[in-house]
Amino acid sequence: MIACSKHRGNFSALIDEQLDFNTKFETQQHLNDCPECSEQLIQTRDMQAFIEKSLLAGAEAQPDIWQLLQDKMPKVCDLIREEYSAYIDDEISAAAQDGIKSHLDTCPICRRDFEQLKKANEAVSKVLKEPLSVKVDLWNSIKSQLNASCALITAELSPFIDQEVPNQRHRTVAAHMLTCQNCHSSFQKLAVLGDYLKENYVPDLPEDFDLMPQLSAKLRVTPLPADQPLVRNKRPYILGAAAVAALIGLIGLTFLLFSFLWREKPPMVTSEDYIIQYCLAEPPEKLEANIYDVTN
Amino acid sequence: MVSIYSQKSDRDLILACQRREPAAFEEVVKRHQNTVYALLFQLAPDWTDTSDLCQEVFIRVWRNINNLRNPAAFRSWLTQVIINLFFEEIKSRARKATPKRPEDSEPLEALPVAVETTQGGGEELDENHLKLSDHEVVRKAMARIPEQLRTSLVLREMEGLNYEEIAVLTKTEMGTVKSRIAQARSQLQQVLAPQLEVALQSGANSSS
Repeated sequence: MIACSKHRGNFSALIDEQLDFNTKFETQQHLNDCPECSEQLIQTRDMQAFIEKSLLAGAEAQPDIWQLLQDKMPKVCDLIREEYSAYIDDEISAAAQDGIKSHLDTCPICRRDFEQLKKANEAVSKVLKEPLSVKVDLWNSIKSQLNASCALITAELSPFIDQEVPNQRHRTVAAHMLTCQNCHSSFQKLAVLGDYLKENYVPDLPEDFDLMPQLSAKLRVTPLPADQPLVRNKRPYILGAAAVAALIGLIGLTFLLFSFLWREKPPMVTSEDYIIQYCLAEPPEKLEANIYDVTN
Repeated sequence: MVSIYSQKSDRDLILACQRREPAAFEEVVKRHQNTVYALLFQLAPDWTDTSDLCQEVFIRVWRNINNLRNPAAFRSWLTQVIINLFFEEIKSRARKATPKRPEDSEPLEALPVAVETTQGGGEELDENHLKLSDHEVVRKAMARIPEQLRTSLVLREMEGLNYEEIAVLTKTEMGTVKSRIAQARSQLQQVLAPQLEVALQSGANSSS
C-alpha cells in the first residue's frame, strides 16, 4: 500500500511525460503488477482528457475581439478630418502629416473637404487681420467716461477739496461740477463739513488756561522774573567779580612789595638779644632749659 | 506779565530754549498751550486727561528740544511730538483693555439736530446756546468714527496739513491717508447730515 501511494503521486507527471527515466520505469513496473493503480491511472488520464477537452471547447467559444472592434472603430476619414485644422497650422507630427497627405491623395472626398476648409480658413484669417484704414481711439471714450461718471467724480471730491488732485484732473472735476447739479451739491455738502468742524470742533478752554504752574512743578524749573531779564542780571555779577579780583590783586602786590622791602633790610638781632627776647616770651618753667641749651 | 521773550519770534524762543533758558520755555508754553490742548482734544475728544497729556507734551519738548535741528520748523515738530504721544497713549490704553462703551458698537445714525429743537423758541435763545449744542453734537460724532480716520481728518481740517505731511506723521502711505480722509468725511456726513443741511441752508441764505 505504501508503494501504491508513492507511485500514485507520479501519475500526473507520467501523463504529462515529465518523469525521469528511472522513476518512469519503476512506476510502469508497479502498474504492471498492481491492477488498482492501473485503474487509477486510467481514471486520472480520463479526467485530464476531459479537462483539456473542456478548455478547448471554452477557447472555441471566445469571440474574435478584432472582428468586433472593427465595427466600432472610427473610420480613417473621420480621424483625418479631425486633424485637418492642426495639419493646416502645421501643429502635428511629421508621421501624422505624411499619413494625412497620403490619405488626401487617395481619398477624393477628404481631398474636397480639406480644400474647402483651407479656403474658409484663409478667408477668416484675412478678415481677422486689423484693417489699417480703421482707427481706434479708446482714450477719448475712456476720458469722456472719466469726466462724465458722477460716481468717479464724487469719490474724488474729498481730495479735490484738499487740493490733492493733479492739476488737470482738478480742472476736469471743476468743469464737471459746473454742469452736474448732483455732484455740485455733494461738493457743497462736503465743503460745509470742513467749515462746520472748524467752527464747532474746538475744546471749551477757560480764558485763564495756563499749564505753566503745573509744568514748573513737574520740571522743577524756577522761571526768572520777567522784568529782570537774564542777560541784564549777569552784568552786576561780572562787575562785582572784577572788583573783587582787582582788590585781591592790589593786596597781593602790596604784600609782595613789603616782603621784598623786608628782605632788603632785615633787622640786625644778636644771638643774645634773640635769646633774651625769646625767654621773655616763654613761660618761666621753660626758661632755664632754653638758656641752658643756648649756652651749651 | 510781559517778558523780553514775549516779543521774540518762535525761532528765537526755540534757540533760547536750546540754550536752556527757562523763561523762554515758559513763553513757548504760553504761546502754544492752547493749540496743543486743542489738537489733543480733537484727536481724542472722549479722553478726560487732556490737560495731563498736554503737560507731557511740553515736558518732552523741554527735554528733547535739542533734537530739533531746524528751529524754524518748531510747529511741525511739535505736532509730531503730539501725534507720537497720542499713538503711544492709544496703545497703552488698548493694553489696559477698558470695557467698550455701548455707543461704540452702535451703527452710524444721524445725531439729532440741536438747532431744530430750539428753533421753536429760537428768538429767545441766544447764539451761544446753539453753538454749545453744536459743539456737543460734533464731539459725539467725532468720537464715533474710528481713531485712524479721525486722526487723518483732524490733521487735515484742523491743522491744515497736506496728505504727504499727514502720511509722514502717521507713518502711512499717501493713498491710505487719502482714503481715510474720504471715509472720515463720508461717515461724518452720514452722522451730521441734519446739522450740515442746516449749515448749508444758513450759508445759502447769508450769501443770498
